[in-house]
Amino acid sequence: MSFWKPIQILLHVRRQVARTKLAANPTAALWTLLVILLLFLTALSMGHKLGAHWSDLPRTDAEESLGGLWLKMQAFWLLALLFPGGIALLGQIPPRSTLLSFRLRPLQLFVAEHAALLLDAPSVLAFALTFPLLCFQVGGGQWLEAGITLLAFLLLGLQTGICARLLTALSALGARRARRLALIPGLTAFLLLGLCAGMPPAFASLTSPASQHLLPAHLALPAQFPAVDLAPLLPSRLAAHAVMATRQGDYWGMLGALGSMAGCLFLTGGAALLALRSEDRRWVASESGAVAPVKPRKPGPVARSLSGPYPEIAALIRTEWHLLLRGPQTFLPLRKPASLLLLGVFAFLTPDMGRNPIYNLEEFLAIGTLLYIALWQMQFLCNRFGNEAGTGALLFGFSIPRIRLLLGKNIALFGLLLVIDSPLLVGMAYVAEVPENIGLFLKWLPLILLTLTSLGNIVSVLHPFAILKQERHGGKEPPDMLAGAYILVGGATFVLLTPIAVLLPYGIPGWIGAGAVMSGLYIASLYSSNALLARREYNMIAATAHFDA
Amino acid sequence: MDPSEYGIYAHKLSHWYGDRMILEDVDLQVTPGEFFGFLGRNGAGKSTAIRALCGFLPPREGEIWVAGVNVLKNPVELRRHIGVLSEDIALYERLSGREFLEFAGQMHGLSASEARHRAEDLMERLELSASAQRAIGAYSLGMKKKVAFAAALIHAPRVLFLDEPFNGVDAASTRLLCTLLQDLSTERGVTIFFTSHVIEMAERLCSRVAVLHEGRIRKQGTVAELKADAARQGTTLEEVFLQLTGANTALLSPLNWY
Repeated sequence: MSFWKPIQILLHVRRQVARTKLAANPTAALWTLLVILLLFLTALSMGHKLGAHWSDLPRTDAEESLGGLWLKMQAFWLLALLFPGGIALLGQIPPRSTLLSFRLRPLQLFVAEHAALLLDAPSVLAFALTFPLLCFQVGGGQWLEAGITLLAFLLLGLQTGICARLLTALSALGARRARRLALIPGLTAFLLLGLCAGMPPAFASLTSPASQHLLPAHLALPAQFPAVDLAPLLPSRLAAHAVMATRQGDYWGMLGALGSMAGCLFLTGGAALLALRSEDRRWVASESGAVAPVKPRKPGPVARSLSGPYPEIAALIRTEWHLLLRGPQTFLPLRKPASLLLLGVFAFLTPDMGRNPIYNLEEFLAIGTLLYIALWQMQFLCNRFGNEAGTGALLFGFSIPRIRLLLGKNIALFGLLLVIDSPLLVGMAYVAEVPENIGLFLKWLPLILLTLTSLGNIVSVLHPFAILKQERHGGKEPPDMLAGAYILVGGATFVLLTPIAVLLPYGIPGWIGAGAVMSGLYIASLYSSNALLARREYNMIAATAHFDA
Repeated sequence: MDPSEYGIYAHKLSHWYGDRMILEDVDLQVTPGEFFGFLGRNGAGKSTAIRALCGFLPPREGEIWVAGVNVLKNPVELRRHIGVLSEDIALYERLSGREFLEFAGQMHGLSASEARHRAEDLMERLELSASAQRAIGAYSLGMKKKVAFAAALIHAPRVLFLDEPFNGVDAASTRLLCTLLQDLSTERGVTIFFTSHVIEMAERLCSRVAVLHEGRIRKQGTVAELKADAARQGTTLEEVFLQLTGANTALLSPLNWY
């Protein structure tokens, strides 16, 4: 069999999977495609800003801008490839065990995996960021520069794919518990990174007079928000250097930068191959039954801190936290057509607020991250029985009074969101240079969360938001289109938060007043949702257990 | 006998989806402590019947009492007295086996220490102790079944509903579960309602059986009665079952193209 034949077969299987997905739920697939198209157009417009100003930019600024753009592109490309709920369009990457059963040579396996990994929506979006620059270069007759840009882009893409595979292999090799523990800080770091990367330019452009945008000086980075000094050895910076060196006719510099990139690629590839080999050995050993038996461990102490007069509430809170914190990536709403649609529309409508060619991307990142966090939290708040990934009906099999069921879930989620949102608010306040408001933010956060919890109770029993379902091999996309529900809930939140907005200027008395109103609202929502649940329990069971009532 | 005195009582139980009849006038009277088998082919309506009897699905028509509780009026109260092992096991796969069992116990109102004690005991009896700390997602189908079975038992219910409990379970574990179930039925007076399409299993375990076909009960009686019927017809119990469930014997011919 030729070298490429098995690779062709694997890619063909992947195409078949995509076709089956499309046939199974054409509406969801169509919406996802529309969203990808919107994001594609947005990426093109961002790339266009850089391309249009490319020839006018001084060398240092141009190199920094291109390097920065490619660095962010790589970071988000990597994230899209790493998260199981990322924006991959064609479906999950074939599992390692499936590929190994083809009896491929290591190099064939490596190429097949990379082809499968890179031939997907994230690559298309990444290319859309670079494509306008290529067009401008070709239009200006800079054929060599365009060729080097394309080559640099391809090398960056290849390195991103290899990095993704290396990280996946390393996480598979690492201890399950360590991986689990690393996920939460990893996810938080990602959210904070998005905020920190995007917030200063977004705030700067929002607060600067619009007339400044017309001046040629806009092309330079503003003095009050200096560009991050990127390490010159970063592959994205090396790629930008190669392009700039070509523009300046410095061919030795270009070759040096490309050579360094190739070196980086070689090192990453070597590390990935080593990690993959270890993973293969482990898989083969587990298949042949050579894995050491699990030694029974002594049971840990019962968590007495949460035991109270109602053991079922304590158990519910503990379990809810376990379910939410073990594998939080399962709950990423990014792939849901509804949230993607909102994000896509937002990205498309983002006004041109930038003063630097790459600022629009940063604004999008900042506001997009905030929107993303809001969507993520809305999803939980509006589906109390969906956090178990399709096994929510299990809860209705217990004899716990339903009001305690709701109360336990509320306490768990309220506590979790308080823990997540407090540092986010502090971080945002620092980044936005308003640290004096931290106290104010933290004081009002519990009341805001209480309001959202109240609203979420009602939505959860009337029209729960869809959350990824559990399947034997990965999650299944919920088919519901919920963009309208997101907008309705957003509107209701706005109305319910009015007392907070009105009472905010009155300090402590205002806080106490708002607290009383919100507590009343919460108690009313708890009892009403309990009454609604009593009437709708059969429907909830049927919906969460996935059978017809 | 009053309906509330039965372990399980169903009268004129009917359910349908659109034009499709799933259950039609099903009558069941299972006395406390009885091991009752509910037999039928795939798609006969066994799982729907179990859902209705457990209060997970409101039937379109009929009256149901389980463990002295009116199922349609008090479905939450009913949960205290029943344990359910459904065919599609739904477990929290991110919890370990031990965590899940402790959670199930506490959700039925047991104290943390009592739930833990019972979870330990059940895991040991069901040979799950070595995997107690592993996430349920990493368990085999048979192990998941055993965890679900333990969760159905942990609050010591008076009635047990078991939907195809031995699917995917190995021979040794099947024997273990059978012994446990027989002990619960004969020694502890637990009513067991058991569905299966394996006739030998019902013959071995059940004191009484009902055969369901296309939503209707075709035959109900003790195993001895069914066997006597079969003997009168000069056939085996399996053949009686196949006749009642309309099995097409023409399909038993070999593949002539193979």
